[in-house]
Parts: sequence; C-alpha cells; structure tokens
Amino acid sequence: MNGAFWFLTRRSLANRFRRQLARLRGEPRYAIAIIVGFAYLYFFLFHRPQSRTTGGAPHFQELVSLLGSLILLLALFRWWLFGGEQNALTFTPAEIQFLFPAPVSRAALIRWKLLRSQVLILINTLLWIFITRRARPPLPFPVYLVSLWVLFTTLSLHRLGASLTRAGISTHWKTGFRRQWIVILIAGAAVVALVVPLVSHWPALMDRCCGLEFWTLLGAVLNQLPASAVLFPFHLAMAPMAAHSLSEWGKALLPAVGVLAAHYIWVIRSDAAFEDAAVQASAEYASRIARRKAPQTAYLKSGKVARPLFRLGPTGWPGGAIVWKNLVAIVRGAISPRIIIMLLVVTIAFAITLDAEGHGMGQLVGTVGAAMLGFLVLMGHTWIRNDLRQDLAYLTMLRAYPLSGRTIVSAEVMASTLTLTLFQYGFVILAWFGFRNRADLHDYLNPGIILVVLPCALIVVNGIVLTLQNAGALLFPSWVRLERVRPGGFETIGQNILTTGFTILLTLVGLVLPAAAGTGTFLIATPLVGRTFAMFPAAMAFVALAAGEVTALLVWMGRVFERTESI
Amino acid sequence: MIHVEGLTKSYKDLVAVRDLSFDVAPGEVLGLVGPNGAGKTTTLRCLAGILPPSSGTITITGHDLHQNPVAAKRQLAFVPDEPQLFEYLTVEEHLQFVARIYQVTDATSRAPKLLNELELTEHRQKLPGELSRGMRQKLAIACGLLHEPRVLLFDEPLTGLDPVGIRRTKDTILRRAREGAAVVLSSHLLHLVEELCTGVLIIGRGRRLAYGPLASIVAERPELKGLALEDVFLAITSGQS
Repeated sequence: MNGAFWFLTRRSLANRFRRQLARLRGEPRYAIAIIVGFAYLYFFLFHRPQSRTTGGAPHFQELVSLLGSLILLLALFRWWLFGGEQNALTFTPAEIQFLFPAPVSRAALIRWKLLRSQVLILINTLLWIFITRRARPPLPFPVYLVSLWVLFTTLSLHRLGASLTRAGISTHWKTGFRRQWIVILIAGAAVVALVVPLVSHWPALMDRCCGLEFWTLLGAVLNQLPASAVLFPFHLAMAPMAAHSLSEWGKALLPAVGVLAAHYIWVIRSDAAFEDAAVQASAEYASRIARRKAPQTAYLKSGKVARPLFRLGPTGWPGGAIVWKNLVAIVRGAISPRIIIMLLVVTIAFAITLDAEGHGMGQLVGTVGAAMLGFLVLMGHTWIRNDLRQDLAYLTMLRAYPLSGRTIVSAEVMASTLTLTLFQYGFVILAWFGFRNRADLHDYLNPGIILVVLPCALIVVNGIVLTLQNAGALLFPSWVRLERVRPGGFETIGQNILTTGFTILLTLVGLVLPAAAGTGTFLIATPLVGRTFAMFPAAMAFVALAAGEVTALLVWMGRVFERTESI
Repeated sequence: MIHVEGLTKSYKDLVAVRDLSFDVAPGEVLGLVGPNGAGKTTTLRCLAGILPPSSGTITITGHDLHQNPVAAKRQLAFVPDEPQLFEYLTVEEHLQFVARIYQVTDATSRAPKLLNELELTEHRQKLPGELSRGMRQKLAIACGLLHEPRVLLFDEPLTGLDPVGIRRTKDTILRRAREGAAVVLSSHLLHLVEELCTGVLIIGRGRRLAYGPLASIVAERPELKGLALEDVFLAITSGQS
C-alpha cells in the first residue's frame, strides 16, 4: 500500500510541475508575470537590509524563544478549542473516493497524510530559512534546516493529533472521551496553569505595556512554575533554533526529536474514527476553494442575508438592475473582511507611529484620513471589484439580456465607481475632521470643496481608473484577475503588479488633459475671484474633460463587449 | 416566429455550425438533437444572441437579431444547461433583477404565480448556494419565463430535476407553447423530445441531417418506418459522433 501512496505523491507532483511548465512554454506572459512576482518578493521581502548583530544577541534569542513558545501555545489552543480539522484532516474528493473504500487501515491513511504533509513542510522550511537567513544564529545551513524541519513536523503532528482527538470525541463521545481523557485533562490543566499567573500579574503587565519591560516581566511570569512547566515542551521544540553553537544545538536537538517521536506515537496509535470528520472537513475545504474562486460568495451565510440598500423597481434605466445587483454583492460581503481588518490595522499602526512622534490628535486623525484616501485613490481598484471583473464569469447571461453593450459596461463600471468613491469620501470626512483647525489649510477645507469639488473629482478619477481596469478585463482577460479564475503564487503577484502599474500609468496619461484644463482655469480665475472660489470653475473644467474621456471609453468598450464571445 | 437562414458559426478553423436553416412557428416545439459536439449548444447560443453568427440571418418575431439585437432579445428567453445564477441574490431578488432588465411592469403580480408554478415559493428568500441543483434549474427557468417571452430556448432543461420537477417543467414548456410561444429545446433525452416536440432538427458535425415532424422524417426514409425516435436518431447519426 505504501507503494501506491508513494506513486500517487510522486506522480501528482511531477504532473503538476509538467503542467505548469507546459503553460509557461505555451503562454510566455505567465513567465513574465512569474518573473515580476518573484522580483517583487525578492526586493521587498528578502532583499531588505537587516542587522546581522541582532541574530546573535542572546537576549534576542530568548525573546524569540519566548514569543515563539507563546505563538505555538496560542496555535495549540486554537486547534484544541476551535479545531484544526479544516486542513489537518482534509482529504481531496479523489482521495476519499479511492482510499476510504479501499482495504487500507486508518493508521495507513494517517501515514499517508503525514507523508503528503512533508511536501508542504519542506517548502515552508526552505522558505523560512531564506527569510530568516540574516537574523538566525551563525550555524551551518543543514543545522538550521533540521531544526526547522523538526519544529514544523512536530507542529504538523500535533495538529493532526488534536484533530483526531476532537474527531474521536465528536464521533463517539463516551468512548472517545475515555480514550483521550488524559490529553483533554492535560490541555485543561495547561490553560489553568497559564491563565492564573497572567491574571494575577495583569495590572503590573498593563502598567508596562508594551515596551521591553513588558516582555521582561512577561518572561519572568511565565518562567515560574506552573507556567514554565506548560511552556517547557515548546521551549524544547524551539531550543535547537535558538542554539548558538554546534554543541549547544546537539544537546538541544535530542529532546526536540524526543518530542517529535512522542507526537508520532500519539498520532499513529490514536485510532480515532476520523472518517466522518474528514469527509466533512474535505467538503468544507472544497467549499472554501470554490468560494476563493468566486469570492463574491465567500461571506454569504445561510439565513443571514443582508437587505439590499434599496428595492429595485421594475421600471427605469435597465442598467440600474446591474448597478443594484453589484451593490447588493458589496452589502452581502463581496469585500473580504480580511481586507477591512488589514486596512484598520494599517490605519491604527500609522496612528500609533504618529502619536509616538508627539503629533496632536487632530493632526493624527487628519493624516490618517488623507493617507488612506491617497492609498484608496491609487490602489482602491484592486479592492473594489464589483464590476466586469466579477461578472465576466456570467458573460453568457449578460450577452443574452436585451441591453446594449454600452449599457452593460457603463452599469458595471458605475457600481464599483460609486462604491469606491463612497469609501474614499469617508476618509475625506476623516481628514477634514482632523485638519479642520489648521489655518494653513483653511482655503482648501471650505464646505464647497468638501461637499462638491472633491466628490466630483473622486468620481471621475475613479471612473477613469475602473474603466481602464474593466477594459483590461475585456481585452486581456488572462492578465486581469477575474473572480472565478484566481491562480496563485508569484504569477498572481506579478500579474497584479503589471496590471496595477499599467492602470496607474494610463490613468495619469488620461488625467493630463483634464488636469491641464483645471490648472489653467484655476490660474485664470484666481486673480478674478480669489483662490478659494477659483477652485470651483477649475474643478468643473477638470470633471467635464475627465467625464468626457470616461464616456468615450465606455462607448468604445460597449462595442468591444458586443464583439466578445467568450472569456 | 423564429426564422433561421444559412446559419454558420466558425471558430478559427473549426466550423461548429454549417449552413443551418429552419423555422419555428408559434405554438411549435422544436427538438434540437445530435451527438456530442454536433453544434446544438452553439446553435442555441446563436439564437439567443450570445454568439454572433459568422454568416446567415436569425429573425426573432420579425426582428433581425444582428440588426436589432435589443428588440429581438426582449422577445426571447434562454435557459442554459448549467444555471448561471448570481450567488449573492436571493430567489426573489433574481426575479426583481430580471423584471428591471426586461421592464416587466407587472412583475409584482407575476412573480408569485411563477414561483408557485415552479415550487419555489418556500425558497424565495434563499440564496442559490442553499438550493439543490434542481431548484437552481427551476430558478433559471423562472427567470426566463417572467417576461412572458414569445420565443423560448432551452438547453437540456431537465438536467438535475427530480421526477416531480421533470413533470412540472414539461407542463410549463407545453403550457407556454399552447399559449403561442415558439420553443426550441436541446436534449439528449430522446423520449422527452418525442413526447414534447412537434418537430425535430437532427444535426451532426454542424450540419442539418434531418428536419421536420418525426412522421415526415420517417416518411422520407422508408427503411425507418415504425421505429422510435431513438432508433431513427441512431440510424441518421451513425458515424457522426
């Protein structure tokens, strides 16, 4: 049976590699995208200069060990309390069809899972070695490779073990509980042992939040019994990575391998009836993959459908149906909560940085608002995608509707333009609120500019950017990420960089004429009506020309859409 | 109602449909049959205005589909073999969306009847992801019927339906034909074609192999006398797949 498993792994990897290679040969653009993506990662992630001294500093290694242990502990709690079955027990539909009915023992299936997980572990190990190459202690490459491999394999085994235990308990509550009661007891005791000292030292910890003193105190608290006993296995697993010499590493490796071996025995001997949980996990995994390919459905949950912003009447501009539909998609979560969280984290981090530099709260709020506005003007089109980039998957239906190509394309672009402008306007208000008392900005922050000029300008700029993105999707669908087709890896990064770069470049070219007209009008009007009021005719000139460009683009795209048979 | 003259559709070197001509009058149900890859779906997609023909003309209720696509499409409905639904719109909202696209002013009164006819009433607040394959197919049919089209194009309409759903859908198709709609349906279920269709268009490798009521097709080929559509189909298409 091991031969069959080995054959499956070997051939799957080889065929996957061959398919990627064939695609690169057939379509050189994928190769270009991969090169650009790799170059981006190299220069922005790996090529960053880092201090070599930090890696060797003992206090640094202790901090890494403490933080690493805590992160591992949190991961363990998550797996035990909320389950890690989603990935740990996932089999592909083909594996379930062929392996589950086959005369294969559960232990053999688990060994197969372990073998398969080694591919990912090895890739992760190499990646981490590369990323941390300047921060790690000066030990030979194979030493660090083995240390990381031991750590990752132990973690993988623990996750699988936790999943099997949970599956055993949920399938056969009483017998499962009896069989795993020791593990459950230990997990419960670990929680108590860690939480009690943390709670008792909580005020002192909060007083020192969040500088070096905080970490020193946290380390001291967790180094006392019984917390130190809980963290002991994690320190054992992390110890080879923190070693400063080969002899230190040799001493640290043996216990770490012991932890790994104990995990292996635990997993292989668990004999939990995991089939139900595996089938369920695999179905959830397949569903997640499908949702990832069609992210507009990713956050839809049964029975929790948000109401549309407004009810769609049967009469009126037919294109309004498409705008309404795409706005409903936004309301129902087509925007990934992860992106919103990321935006919030960036904003808060930015605010904390500014605060640390002694700026006032008003300046802080205003700068955050202005920075986020700038970010969304430049990059918002990659986030708000409720337009043709989402709907080209429905090309057949769109083309069957009794609507002209221009109507369809205009409606599609309108939906994302409105959404993006609304988000940006939120940050305009934030920036205005922060800067409203700044005397030097008084001329630019009058209500007329905030309420009229900026919204109009944002709409036309977004209109140009999003029309170009949609034109790209129509003309070069392979180059633009369409929602139902989302390849991964360097290729995606490269494609995103190239399309974003071209979009920004073409937008700047498109804005030359409107900007020139706006500036000219401003210069002529300023001596006549003053700087503040000169902004209104200037903005009108800018908006009129930019809107004209958008209209011309949409008319042309409508014709292209009518000629597009398939994507 | 549907007039097709010399329809040809090519993709680079491949001719998917070659010089196809036929008519479907009001009240008629034309069965489009042929082996896999014969050009059935391409023909239906050309009729629906999704694919522009390489040559030939298609007229829907007097409107040339090429010259006046919006007016022609307003009169027709196309139900694809794989229901294409918006995953973030509920059943009811799909009908609201279609009502606006086709400007169905009395959609508020039509929609409940249609939902009832297709047994979707209790699912009207559900998203497509919560529906079975058969229910999704019924929703696609409901969306197609809301504007009371005069031309109906079905591509494998019974795929995924349970026996009750099959019966209901057959009744729905026949009812529309009785009310004067021209219907074209493509299917591999030959007994369904035999049961529902007033005429048959058999195509192979994009060419018309036989066309007309089954009786007249058989009358032209005495060796097929007394055979069922399945045998007629096999005899005519042998060597075409």
